[in-house]
Amino acid sequence: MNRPPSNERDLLELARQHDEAAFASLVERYTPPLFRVVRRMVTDPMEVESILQETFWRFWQALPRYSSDRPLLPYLATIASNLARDRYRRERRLEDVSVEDILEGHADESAPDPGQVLDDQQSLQRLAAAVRDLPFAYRAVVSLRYEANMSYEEIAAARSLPLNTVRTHLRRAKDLLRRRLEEAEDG
Amino acid sequence: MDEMDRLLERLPEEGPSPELATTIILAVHRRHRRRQIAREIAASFLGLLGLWLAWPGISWLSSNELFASGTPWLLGGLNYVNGESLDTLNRLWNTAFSAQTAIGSSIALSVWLGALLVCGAIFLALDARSWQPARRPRVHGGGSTMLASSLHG
Repeated sequence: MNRPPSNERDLLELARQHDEAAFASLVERYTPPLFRVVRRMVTDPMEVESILQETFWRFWQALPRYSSDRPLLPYLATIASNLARDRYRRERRLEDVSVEDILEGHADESAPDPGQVLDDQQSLQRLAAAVRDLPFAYRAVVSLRYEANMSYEEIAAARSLPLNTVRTHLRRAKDLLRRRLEEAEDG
Repeated sequence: MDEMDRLLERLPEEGPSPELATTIILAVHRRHRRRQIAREIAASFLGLLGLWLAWPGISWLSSNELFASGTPWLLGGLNYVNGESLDTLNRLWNTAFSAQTAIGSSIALSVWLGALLVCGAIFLALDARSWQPARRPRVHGGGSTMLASSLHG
């Protein structure tokens, strides 16, 4: 696990001592990367902003107990992903249980390398749209892995999932993306 | 790392609006301020109610009665230190029980409740005080400039 740079540790230490200016600096620094993480999970931009606001509020409340040696983005991403999951559950748009069955038996290892067809910006946009269409559980894992650069272990801790489930979710998400891109290509 | 990993790392990024960070900071400040005011009101209410309930106990503590009932303790203790017989220890023990009974009967349940509320009020007030800023430097960044003091209203 990477330690935060020293100037950030100083900011965190000041924020832990209830320095609101240091907290403001941290918010300004971490809003863009955290926005990208949450935006990959949540489609509604207004909801993204609301989740970010709630995330930083919870961080503010947790500051006295926060260790400044911990990297901040994974910590914030964990709070944000839990908030996103809760909102989806509340709105009955998420059914975690059914997610496990979506790709059962559909992995196709002999599929052509998507890199051959995804060589321009338009194709990457298509892939981004396909990510947005993934079931929430997969989208959250993809977002934490590729936007927050979190390790499998960190994702497992953040999502309260066994390590093997994280690996399975990522593999199935990639399989699903591969298939959807192929379908788009064939169509 | 396969090709899909590389593609997922290259996905187009969407940035937040420039004022989002400022909006978040102000929102956090507003919620913090609201919570602080609520704590201060709750602490004042609990403190006043607790003092009102505990007042008989406070007046008893400040009366001579306490010192009068403490005398047997002191004398019994001195006798014991002086090496008197086991009777002294028994007397001291009995005195302790009688003093405890006296305290229990004279200080009603409401006094204990009052003391508890005062403690709660002190806890709330201290916790609210602990969230005052360490210092208030000027903050630059993200296209916005703000005084840390602006966070405190």
